[in-house]
Amino acid sequence: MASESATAASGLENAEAHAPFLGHHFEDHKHQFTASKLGIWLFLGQELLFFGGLFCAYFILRGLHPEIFFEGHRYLDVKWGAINTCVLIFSSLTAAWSVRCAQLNQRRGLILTISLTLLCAFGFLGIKYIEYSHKIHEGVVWGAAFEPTPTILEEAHSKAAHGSPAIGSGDVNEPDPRRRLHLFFSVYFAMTGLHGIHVIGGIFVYFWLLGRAIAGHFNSEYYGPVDFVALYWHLVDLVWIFLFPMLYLIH
Amino acid sequence: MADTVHAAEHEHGDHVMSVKQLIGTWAALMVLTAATVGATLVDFGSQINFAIAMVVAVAKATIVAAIFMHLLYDRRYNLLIFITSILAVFLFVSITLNDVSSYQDDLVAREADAPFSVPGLNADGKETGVSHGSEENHGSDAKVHH
Repeated sequence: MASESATAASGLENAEAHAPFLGHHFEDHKHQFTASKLGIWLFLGQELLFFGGLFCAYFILRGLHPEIFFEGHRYLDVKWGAINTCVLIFSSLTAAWSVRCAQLNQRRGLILTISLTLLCAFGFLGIKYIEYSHKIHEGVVWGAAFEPTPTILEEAHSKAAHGSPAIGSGDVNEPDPRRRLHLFFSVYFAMTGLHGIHVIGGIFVYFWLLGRAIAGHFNSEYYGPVDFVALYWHLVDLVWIFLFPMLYLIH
Repeated sequence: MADTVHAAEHEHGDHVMSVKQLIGTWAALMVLTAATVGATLVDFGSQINFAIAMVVAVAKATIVAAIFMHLLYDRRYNLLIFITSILAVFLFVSITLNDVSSYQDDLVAREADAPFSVPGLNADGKETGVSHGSEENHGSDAKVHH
């Protein structure tokens, strides 16, 4: 960052040197922007691989034991999953809009869209909290601690009437899904948990971005951070786009 | 307004999304979300239903990546990184699935010999006698059945 006094002391700097957020190792804003963008895409690429491990676990388990996924999804509420999908898609819209605002020097619009994105992120976590606390309260957790209460069993099985065979139909050759149901919740909590951690991370970064937007750091020349954080946020949305049908919408 | 948009595009050579495009993308994603929820209400058979859900998810992801993440307008280098990562995940998942399926016959034989149950799954909610430990012990003898 070129300081005010440094630029005043020498008349040799070109116009770019006056920019407070242009790294001295970059030729101009475009150079800085494309280099940073390459960096954020490399980060997003590794994020995909990061989630890839859990997706792999999901497909192995589902391939081997489709019945536990069929049984397990009854313990999830499609309503909350669908609402959260809408919340995240809307936050993706506001995130993309914030990039537009920054590109067009719309400071108030930028602050508004970042705030809306933050609001959606908190909304998402709030709904996730409702879902998690209900499950943990009813003993629907991962591994050996899995011990569903009669209340939630009844709740889940009341959905069984909806166009699907009853569980444990008595056929010995059919594997009883309840034997390994805890695996579904291991996958569920691991995948939605890692995703939730990313949402929390996004909230921290968006607060930082909000502060900088209020301080008026961004303009049509320098809006890289707004773009990069939005890219990260879209990736979080992208992961949820897959998690929602994979966990909630099993037929 | 059109001039400002043009100016910003000119400065970075970067795409500025129009309000129409933003709202349109959002609307398309909402319609696809409704479609994927709606598709679960119809019974096409579990395989087909899963395929539909995944196709819709891929369509939504493509829209987000192409427009919201502006890969459509971006330098191709960034797209290359994204596609490479997806291919790496594909490779990882498919090779692992292939590996797992080639051991299935062994595992099924082993399981039939030593079924295990999970605490809390009896009708009365009490723990069952068979623990995870005994399953593992039997597992080590799996070769005997081969």
